[in-house]
Amino acid sequence: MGRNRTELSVPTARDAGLTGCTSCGRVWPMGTEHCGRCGARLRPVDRSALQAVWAWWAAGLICYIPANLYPMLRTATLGHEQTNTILGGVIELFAHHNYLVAAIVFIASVLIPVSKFIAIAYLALAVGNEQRAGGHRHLLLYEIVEFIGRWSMIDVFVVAILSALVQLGAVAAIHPGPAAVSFALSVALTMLSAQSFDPRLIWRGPARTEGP
Amino acid sequence: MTDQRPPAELVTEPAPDPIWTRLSVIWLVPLFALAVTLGVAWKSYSDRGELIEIDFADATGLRPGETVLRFREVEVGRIETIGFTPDLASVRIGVRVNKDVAPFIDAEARFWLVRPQVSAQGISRLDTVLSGTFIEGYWDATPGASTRRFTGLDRPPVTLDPSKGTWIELRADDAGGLAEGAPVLFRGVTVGRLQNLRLNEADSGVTLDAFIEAPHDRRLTTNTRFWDTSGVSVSLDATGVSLDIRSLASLVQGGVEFATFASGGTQVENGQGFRLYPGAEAARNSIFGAGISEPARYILLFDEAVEGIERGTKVQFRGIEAGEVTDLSIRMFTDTTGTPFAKQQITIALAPERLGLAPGTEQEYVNEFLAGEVLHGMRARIAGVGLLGSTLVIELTDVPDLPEAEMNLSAVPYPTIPTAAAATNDLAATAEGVFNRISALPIEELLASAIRTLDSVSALAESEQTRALPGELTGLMAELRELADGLNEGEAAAKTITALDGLSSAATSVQTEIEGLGAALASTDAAAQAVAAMPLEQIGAQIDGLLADLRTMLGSEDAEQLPRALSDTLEQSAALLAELREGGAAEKLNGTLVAAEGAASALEGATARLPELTAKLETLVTTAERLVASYGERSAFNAEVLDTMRELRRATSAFGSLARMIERNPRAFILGR
Amino acid sequence: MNDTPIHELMACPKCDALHRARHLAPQERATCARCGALLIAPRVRSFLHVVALSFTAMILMVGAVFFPFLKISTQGMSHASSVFEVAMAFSEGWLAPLSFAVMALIVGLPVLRFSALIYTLWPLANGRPAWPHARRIFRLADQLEPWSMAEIFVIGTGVALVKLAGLATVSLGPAFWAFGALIIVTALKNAFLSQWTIWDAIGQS
Repeated sequence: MGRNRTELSVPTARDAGLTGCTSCGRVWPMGTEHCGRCGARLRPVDRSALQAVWAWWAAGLICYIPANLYPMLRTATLGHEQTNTILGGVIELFAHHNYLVAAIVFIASVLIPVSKFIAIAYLALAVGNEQRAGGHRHLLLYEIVEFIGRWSMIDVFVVAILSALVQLGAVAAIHPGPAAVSFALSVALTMLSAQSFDPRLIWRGPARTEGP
Repeated sequence: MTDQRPPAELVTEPAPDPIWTRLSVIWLVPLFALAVTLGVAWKSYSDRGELIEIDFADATGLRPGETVLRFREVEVGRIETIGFTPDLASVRIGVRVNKDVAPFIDAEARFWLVRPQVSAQGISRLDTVLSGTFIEGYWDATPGASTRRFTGLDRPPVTLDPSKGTWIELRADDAGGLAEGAPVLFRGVTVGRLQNLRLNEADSGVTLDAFIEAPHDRRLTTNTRFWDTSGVSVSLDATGVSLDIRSLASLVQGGVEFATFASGGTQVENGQGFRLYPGAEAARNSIFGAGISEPARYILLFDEAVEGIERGTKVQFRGIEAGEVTDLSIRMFTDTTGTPFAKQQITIALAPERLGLAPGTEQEYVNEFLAGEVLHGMRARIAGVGLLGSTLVIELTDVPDLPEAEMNLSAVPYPTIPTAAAATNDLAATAEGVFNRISALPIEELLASAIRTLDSVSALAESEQTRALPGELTGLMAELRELADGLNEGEAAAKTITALDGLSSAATSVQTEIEGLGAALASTDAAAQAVAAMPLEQIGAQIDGLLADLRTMLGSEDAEQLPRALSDTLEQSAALLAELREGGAAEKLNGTLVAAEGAASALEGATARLPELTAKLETLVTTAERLVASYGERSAFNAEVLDTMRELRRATSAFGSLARMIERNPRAFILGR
Repeated sequence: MNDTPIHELMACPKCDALHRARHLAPQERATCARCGALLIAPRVRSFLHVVALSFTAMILMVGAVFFPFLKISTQGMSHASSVFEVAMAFSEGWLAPLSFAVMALIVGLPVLRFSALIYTLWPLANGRPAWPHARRIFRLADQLEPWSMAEIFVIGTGVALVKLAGLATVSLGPAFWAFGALIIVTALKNAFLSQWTIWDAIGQS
């Protein structure tokens, strides 16, 4: 826990009455609106940013519902048309013993989005409640969410590739379903939600969340 | 004044490093990427094939970028553009052809569209329903002068490579059931196809091209004969009922079969012409050769009615079969008073080689020859041949004591040959004998037996007997022949065949030429009435019933019982005929030929139903065929059914000959042949 | 602490910890004292490398878009498709905006980002002052990073290939390999990118 002690001793820009630029790292006196070096808007570290997180989060969740209810793919083979929702496709792949693809699709389209919703909600709720010592785990979680969030887009790309490629006249044709749009929207919105989350909030202890 | 100012110092600055020293190795990365990208781009550009243009009537199912060009079922190109020819009359397809095949596409190349086809030969290219229409091309392996614009074929060519077979030309009177693409069969095996069915420009016939694939084209010689196997041929004649269906395809689309009956022909060249006969029998028996050289044709004009002459009736030249009747019609003339009158116009065709001339002799030489003969007294006349003169022929023979006549060589459409009155036989010498023969016939008994026979045929047809033996039929036929011989050599031996020949004409001449038959005529009426009163309709009805039974039997598994039943029946018929032969003691009929005529006409009335019966026979046969078809080929059942059919056909032949005899010559039935 | 001039201070963007920034020696890297986030990681001639790799990536992108991408064939039927057609898969009806978005995610935004990097870093790599609007443009490049999804697209291609493996033969066109190379180049380039160093350079110029 030696590291923790060091960490606790490290002053923050906020402690010094400064605001750090999240874009280029320069610090400016509190109250400065725009970074003089990179021109980014300086965001003070406070809970107000969390509203944007929740707003994007809710929008993403709303979009995620039709993404699961509507068909992702319409597969027409020899006059027989079949529609697949995300979960339906996973189940079918699994039934065809195509475990690898089933796992990839399941992870990318179900597991990641759902865990992302949970993770962002957890991080947002935890702001101000956690011990500063827990910051490392939370930061790791945040970084994972931010890194992995984009990968949910894979399912949209798969649908696009399949639809563009499998156009063999009457034999087989794949068309995208409405769920592709709402799923892509959901992924984009959760990405925005994650980006809106200010990781610096993680490091603020419960006592100081209310600001100076 | 000199300027004392010192010269300016040089302005020095550090020389910039040469550009190559400032360049980092890292620039090799984008350079490499650029090189690879450009390389790929250049390769795909240089690999892109040549563009050829093909004109088609329409572009159904063709799509740019998707529809492919195939050569031997391998994709060698893809459609790039679809446009129109400048006159908008057809569609011009731009096809990008792979580089490796492009040099071979020369002026000889042919292109056609491959689409699913449903034809009598079956459904083909069903795969294109899924894969879409494609363009098929064919070209040979020798690169030729570059040609880049083609006209697509309307339909797939009969053969990909015309050097792998022989083209021949077939001529027929009419197309019948033949269609383009119909198969050419040799012993039932498809060895070629028909194409390019067209009307002859010169005459009324049609011409077909046929392609015989190698190596089957070696079967062709100049003596080969072709005939039409279109549809089902059911022929009912003295040899029996024969049914022939070569293939389903030929049923719908027609077909042509060939065989070489005579040896000695020479190898056939491309374009050789052959006559197409209407049937196998005609092809085998025709006195005209296999070639298409036109036989000499002549017109005969007869004043008298020529009932009994039909197309195909033989023409004899001094007793030798030399041709046949090809057409019959009526021609109107006007006499000196302006009253129109009709003559029967008969067109005959003569084979020059049968006249003693070289085969293929031109008509004008035949004309010359015949004109000479006519000057020496040759005339055309109608004559009866055969046992009772029931078969009519046209005779070209010397008729004495006639005014001189000449051929009209300029007559249209063919030269005319002068005719003579029908050959009437020496009636006075033979009439008595004929009467004797007729009076010897137990007609009532005969008819009664006929009814009984038919009864038993019906009964037997319904009975469940075991399999028949064709041997019995043979025996029966032998017996029938024996009977005929008996008639010839026995009682009728005294009468010459020619006397008997005149029977039909005798029937009409009896009343006019022979006196003192008044009393006989009275009894004739009575006899005629007696005959008329006979239950002939009942016979007809029974024949109907019998056929119905036959049909039922064929539908059932009892079909195999039929031959036995029929042979039994025919045994009875034989007995009946035997009775007829021995019936000299019967004094039932004081008949005359007129009575015979009456009976005959009554019988004719009854036998008018025979076509209907024949139709029923056909239905029956069709039912049987369908039954056969519903089982797989070569199955045990099928083989059995085929055996049965064969037996049945044989049995039916015997029955058919009986029926046909009645139809053709009821008199013979009454008179005991 | 307060003695340090303000321009020499830096705040960790992840945890707001205040550090005194300084230029690092080659092969050195600086991390946050509290959260351990990587703050400064300069490389030798890194600007130049980023510029060169961005050029490479641009060239590869051109190939990736215009060359045939994938070709499916089964039972004599075949269908080839380019990246453009993949994006246009959604062009039916109201899915059309998604088509645009996919095109942007896999082609548009990466290209924009490469251009922005080249624009910003080209003068810096040559030791000249930054061109006008370099700050805004570099910030844009920075913000675009999570949205350029070319690498995800390639993995998506892999998934699609596995999905189709049993049904049809899929052959890969040059565009696929261009895309593959693009991913590697992009990853390399990102490794050379050190935000703080660049900002420092822009700020100094």
